Amino acid sequence: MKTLKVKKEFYLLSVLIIGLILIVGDFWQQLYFSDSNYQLEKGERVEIVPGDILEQQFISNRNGLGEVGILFGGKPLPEGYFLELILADEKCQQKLRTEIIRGKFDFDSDNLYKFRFKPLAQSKSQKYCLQIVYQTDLQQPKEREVRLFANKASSKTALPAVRIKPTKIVFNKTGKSQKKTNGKNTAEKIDNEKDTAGVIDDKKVESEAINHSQLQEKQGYDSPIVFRPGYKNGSIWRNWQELNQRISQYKPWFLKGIYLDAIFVLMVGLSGYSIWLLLKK
Amino acid sequence: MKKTKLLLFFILTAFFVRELFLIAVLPIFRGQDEARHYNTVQYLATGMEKNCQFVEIDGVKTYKPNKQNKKDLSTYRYSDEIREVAHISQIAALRGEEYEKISFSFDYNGVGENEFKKQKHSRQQSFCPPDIATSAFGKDYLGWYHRGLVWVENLLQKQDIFVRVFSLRIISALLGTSILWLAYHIFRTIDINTKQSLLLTAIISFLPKFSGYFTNINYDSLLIFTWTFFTFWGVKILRFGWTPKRAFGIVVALLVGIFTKPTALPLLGALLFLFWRAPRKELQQLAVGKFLKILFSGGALIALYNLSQKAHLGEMFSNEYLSQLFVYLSKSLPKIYGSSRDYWGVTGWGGTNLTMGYVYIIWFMEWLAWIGLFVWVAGPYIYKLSERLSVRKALKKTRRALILNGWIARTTERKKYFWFMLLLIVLLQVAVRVADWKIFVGTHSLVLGTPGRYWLPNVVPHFALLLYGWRVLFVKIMRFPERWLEFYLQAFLVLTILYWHYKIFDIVIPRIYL
Repeated sequence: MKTLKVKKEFYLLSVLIIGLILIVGDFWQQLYFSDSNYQLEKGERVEIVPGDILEQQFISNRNGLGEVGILFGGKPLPEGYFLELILADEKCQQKLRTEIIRGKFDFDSDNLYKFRFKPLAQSKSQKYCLQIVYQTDLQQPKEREVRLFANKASSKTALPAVRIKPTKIVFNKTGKSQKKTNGKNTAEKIDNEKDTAGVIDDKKVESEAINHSQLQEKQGYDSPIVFRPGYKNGSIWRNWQELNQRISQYKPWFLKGIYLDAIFVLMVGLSGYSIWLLLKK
Repeated sequence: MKKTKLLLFFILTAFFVRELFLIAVLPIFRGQDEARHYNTVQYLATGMEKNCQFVEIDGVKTYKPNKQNKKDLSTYRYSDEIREVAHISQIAALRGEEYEKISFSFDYNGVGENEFKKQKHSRQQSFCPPDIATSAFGKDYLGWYHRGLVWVENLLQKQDIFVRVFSLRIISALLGTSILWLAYHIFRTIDINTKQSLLLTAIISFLPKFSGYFTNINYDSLLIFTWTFFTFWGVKILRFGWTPKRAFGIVVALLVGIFTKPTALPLLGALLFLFWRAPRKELQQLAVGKFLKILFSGGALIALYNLSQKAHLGEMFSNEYLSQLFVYLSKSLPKIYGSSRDYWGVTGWGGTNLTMGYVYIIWFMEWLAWIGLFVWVAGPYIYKLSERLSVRKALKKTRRALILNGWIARTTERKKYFWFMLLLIVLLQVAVRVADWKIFVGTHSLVLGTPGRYWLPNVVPHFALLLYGWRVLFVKIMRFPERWLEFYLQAFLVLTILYWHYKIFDIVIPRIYL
């Protein structure tokens, strides 16, 4: 019977400890400090369709860039569609970090999606390129838009966003040219059914004298998209210090800085000890 | 005994320090109606002086119109100082979308904070009529809560507003700590053993709604305290009878409660219960007898009537109100699950699948307790009915029937605590719904509603009833040993601890600071 009693308390303590570890872990995953130079305010609607690439260049204000929050809006990402989020170098060529969001994914009207990645230690004053690539696995996809926002007030330093809509000119047997969206699967079939509609055959395209410079159509916006970088410091202590700084702002002297540290330590100690006493036999 | 006192001390101190941390985490005026309550304190502290601005519109002198933006407290009809601090601390950013944040500096002082503290700011009201927390007793009536806090406001008047506001928040935390002390002693008085009483006290201390509410400047914190204070003296009277000290305690609780917020008026009804159910022996020893019982009951009823008239509750019996009662109830009662979720700490922006999972577990545990309570209360009547239905013989064969019959006889004493706690819960529900109904008739919508925080005055009676119900179900009917009930409470404690930490560290802090 004594063994049974010990086991019960052990189980409870284990559950408590595991639960607290998970909570701390989740907190650590969210511990990115948002860049106060960016304002998230909805503005002009930006809608992309499958095959589009949205590029946004910006300069990181600090070291430890580890997050880019992107404001989406409106319709959810449907099943069979996916967004590839890429953090690339300033020329938008070399991929540094990527993430894929697969549908079905719900972007409700107030959703800020946080693209999180291993922090870039020496990111201060470096220019980066955020690419949002919208693709689909479906053979016959529909034009399902994903909505973002562009706003001049979003950032004073980020460059205006650019939307790249890959297009292609093909000549059918009658010699008439027709624009068609790029990608493995197209949303439209060309009129001439005997051609391999929906499939891009490079060789065939070349033989029909495709103008390669028209492979991509760029649409520039006046403003950057609405997004906000986030940063993580290199050490736990430095992260705690910065969090302490943020919490201390607009507070009285006895709830700032070192006093806040002391309250936190006392809280952990007292709560932990009283819980231990309550849970033990 | 010494160990018990020490453990209680640790529970209370740990709660107070957790409240200090939470007070530090929550930005200024983040609490429910906090700015309005603080403005009320400032209004009283400045002698109710106004510096109103007037304009003439169509030859009529009127207050200068104030264009108020619901998100931005700096546009409200508050004192100049509150408007300025609301602006400088960027409160509007936290009242908008979940992703909005204030602009942080790389320092322990916020943007503009140092400059703000160096300047002098007027605590007078320039925008009229002042937006203050009046009472159902009349728009010129300001409660004892605000009047009490004026003393602290004036003591600290040379300090900046951050020191004053957060000091008043600490007073709320002290009230919360006192409530926990009272809770423990209430549980002990109504025959709950030491360990279970400590566990229940600790569970309440980790309830997010309870914990969060005592970080605010709000007259509800004093109301909850006085309601619990009344409950404390009430159970003492039920157990040990009337004495001058207990009578004095009850009267103080009533006066402070009623003159803080009229929601405490129904406690006069609970007082009648105490007159009639307290042990007679003590009443006879005090030589009060039936005559004084009737006299005091009459006094309570007259006070209830007069105060109800003052709060314009007499109008509720008019045709205008009664005709809308059914409509009101049909709209309000289905929202009880929302109120319950709110009571257990799941707020609008803090709601996730995990938090809803927590609520569903709690609701399941509550239903178990209500089943136990039903069996406990209805058991004797079912047993008597069984005789009439000639099934007593069949029932007698079951062990459970025998147990119930025997146990019910022994726990008649405990039943009076049950009825008292239930009465408190019902009276508060009636009070809250009457106030809600009154506003519904005027506005044709549930503007006030019955949010979960309005149920907090009965957090102690609620948990007492839950424990009674669990004890009947697990110990008496299912025949588990008493220590399994304690294990069950420990598991509940672990659940609330985890939820509290999840809410603060994974929802609140990221929402505001990351």
